Amino acid sequence: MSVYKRVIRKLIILLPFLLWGVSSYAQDDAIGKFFGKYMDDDRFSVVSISPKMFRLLAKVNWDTVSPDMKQTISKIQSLRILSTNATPRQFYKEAIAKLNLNDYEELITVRSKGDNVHFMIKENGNLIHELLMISVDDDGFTLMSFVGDIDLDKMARLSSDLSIKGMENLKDVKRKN
Amino acid sequence: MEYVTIAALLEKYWQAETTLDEEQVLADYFRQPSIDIRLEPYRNVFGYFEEESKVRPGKDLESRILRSILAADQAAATTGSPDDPGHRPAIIRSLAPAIKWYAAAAVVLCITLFSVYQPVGNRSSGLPAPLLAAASDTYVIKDTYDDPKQALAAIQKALLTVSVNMNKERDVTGKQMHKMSDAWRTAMTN
Repeated sequence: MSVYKRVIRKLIILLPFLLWGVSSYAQDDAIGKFFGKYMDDDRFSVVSISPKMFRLLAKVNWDTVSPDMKQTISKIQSLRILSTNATPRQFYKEAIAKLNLNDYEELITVRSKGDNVHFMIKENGNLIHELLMISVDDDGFTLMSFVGDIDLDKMARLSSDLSIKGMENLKDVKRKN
Repeated sequence: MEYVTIAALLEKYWQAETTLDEEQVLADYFRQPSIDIRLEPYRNVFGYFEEESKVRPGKDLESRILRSILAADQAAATTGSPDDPGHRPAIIRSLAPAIKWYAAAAVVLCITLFSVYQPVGNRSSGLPAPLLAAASDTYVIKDTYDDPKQALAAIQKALLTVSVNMNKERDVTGKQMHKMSDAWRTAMTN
């Protein structure tokens, strides 16, 4: 019987390690790790929308949403955004270093004055299944990851739809926040 | 002649590049009673390996070790060795019975943990394989919003930001192209 007891005692000691091991396995992707690290950090604002929530979207009134937007969203499975106004350059550097960007293919990189925007994609056959945007300027750092079936052309068109309606200066609005 | 070949083989042997056959040649050579005097120093090396490879633990190895421990222990207890005054008799435990329980417990734990951590949503959803893979990447996501309406607004905002940034790129390259063609033109005219 003492063997039982000893085993149980050892298991209780080991259990947290095992759980920790499994949970770190669950967040194996680099983005997940980065998100996990800063999710509860006050300096960051976080938005994450799970596949479950994407399915729930069907119940909402979509009347005000443009058809392009509707189609784009219907193919997305999940969304994660991490953004901060504090020491953006530093976090940008960290993100570039930490994220395993070898898994991604660089799609677009914009470097103008203090502005840096990277678009990276992960492909699965011919489908783009993840779009990652990393952007930094003096006002903030943003990391955005869309997972799903991504249509870049449609995404690029979304803002031109808007500009017709006179919302061209959306990025200035974003700056003010 | 013999010396040259064996010396070459030896050199290879030290580099750990010999094949099994070549090692056999070396072993055979050093087993001879008379060998080249210059190779005599290495005889012991191969002799040692040969000797030691024949040594097998006897069936009673464990009990012999145990017995010698017990004997030493008893001797220490009765004579009360001076460098170890508070000597207690050794406690001997065998790992053999416990290890089965460790193994069983580990297996059970692994199975339960993996079934618990399976992404629950994916099991029944009839998603095609690539999408399923995509979903399993992200099952750790904790929702920020409970209200789908708010979620939709956030998604739209995010998509617009992405779209604006994509078009910004188009503008930049557009400007750069323009600049380039200007430079090109001046270069050509001068």
